[in-house]
Amino acid sequence: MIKRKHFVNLTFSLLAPLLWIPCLAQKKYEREYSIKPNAVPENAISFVSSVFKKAKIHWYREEGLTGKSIEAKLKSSGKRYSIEFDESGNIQDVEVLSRVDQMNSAGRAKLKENLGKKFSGYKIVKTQLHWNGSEKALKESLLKDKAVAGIVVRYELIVKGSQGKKEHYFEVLSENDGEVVSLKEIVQRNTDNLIY
Amino acid sequence: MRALVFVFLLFFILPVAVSGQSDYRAGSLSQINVNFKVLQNWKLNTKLETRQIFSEKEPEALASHRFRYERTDLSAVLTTKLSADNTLGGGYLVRLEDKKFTHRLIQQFNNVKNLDLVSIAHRIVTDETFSSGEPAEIRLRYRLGLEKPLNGLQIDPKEFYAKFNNEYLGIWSTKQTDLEIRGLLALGYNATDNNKVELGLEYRVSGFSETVRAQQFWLSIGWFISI
Repeated sequence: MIKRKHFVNLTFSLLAPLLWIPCLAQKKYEREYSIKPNAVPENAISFVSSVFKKAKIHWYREEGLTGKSIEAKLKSSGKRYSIEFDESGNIQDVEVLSRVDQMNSAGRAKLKENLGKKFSGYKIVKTQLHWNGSEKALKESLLKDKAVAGIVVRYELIVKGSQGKKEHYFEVLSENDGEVVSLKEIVQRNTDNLIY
Repeated sequence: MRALVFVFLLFFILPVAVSGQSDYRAGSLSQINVNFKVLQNWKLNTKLETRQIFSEKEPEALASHRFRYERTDLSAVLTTKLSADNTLGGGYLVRLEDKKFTHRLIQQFNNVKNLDLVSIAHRIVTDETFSSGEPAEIRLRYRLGLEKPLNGLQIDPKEFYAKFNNEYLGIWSTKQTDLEIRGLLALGYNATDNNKVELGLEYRVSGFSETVRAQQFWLSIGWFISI
């Protein structure tokens, strides 16, 4: 015969290990979190505000195994921008949410051919235009809304693709001409707490 | 602020207001979920859940505000990944309540998408419940789940998140046909990607075929571990 007291004891015994959780979280990790503008280097703020006069800017700090960076995310004229700086506020690159059909037709055809070789089936779920170059060239590109001379244009795609019987999400970096620079499988976040 | 006022009204004022009229139960739901990876594409979820009642009112009876342990559920669900977003699973639950065992077979399908700002989960479940002296009960359930980081764009280790669930359950047996609606608002802490704790408030309403609705108010505590 099982008594009520035993179940209460069992429940509390099972809940007691919750106290251990802070100890279990001591591993290395990558994270990003929002920060206030006063925690952002002055040159990063002045770069963004010199280009986007009225936009509401959200600032984030990213900490990973490869270092720390600061990112400004904003929406302006219907476009979503992500501007990355190093810890000192020096601009690193600019990403603009885009569509793959913004790529030139020859590049798009080449990319389609290359992705067809990598996957038995795939779907592009997100496309970002990736600009890399000097601070001056990046600023000019943002103001003119197109990549100027000196800017390396790449496309960063999130692809849901099948390799054999398995389907995963991948991050694909492509040159403007459709040549695939890198292809990385995205480790999906644990969502067990949404399933059960 | 509006959300806080809503939650306060829902879980603190409403129970007092309804306690004089309809049937209700209020208490705590504590659950521990342990997920094991078995083989390449398979996962086994084991769950231990207990319910404790703090206050209740049965039909044609006065309200009781005495603490009592109600029941314990132990379940195991085996799931496989169908694709990047979809999983399919089946399992078994055994319930101990009033020294009697209840058995349940579970079949479930899930679709989870991690978007830029929020994760959206759809869960469809059918289950069949068997207990001695009671007609078999079949339920069809749909649950929408939303999860949002409270800092930044993704839920990182050592960060808090908000979770909202809304579930609809159709219930059929030879004795009754009913609908139950559930809503959960929870605060979660992601200690690591494989270790999460959630504390929330859950409201359930059923008895739509009756003249008086039955309501439930739960303080929900969940611990999710993946091994």
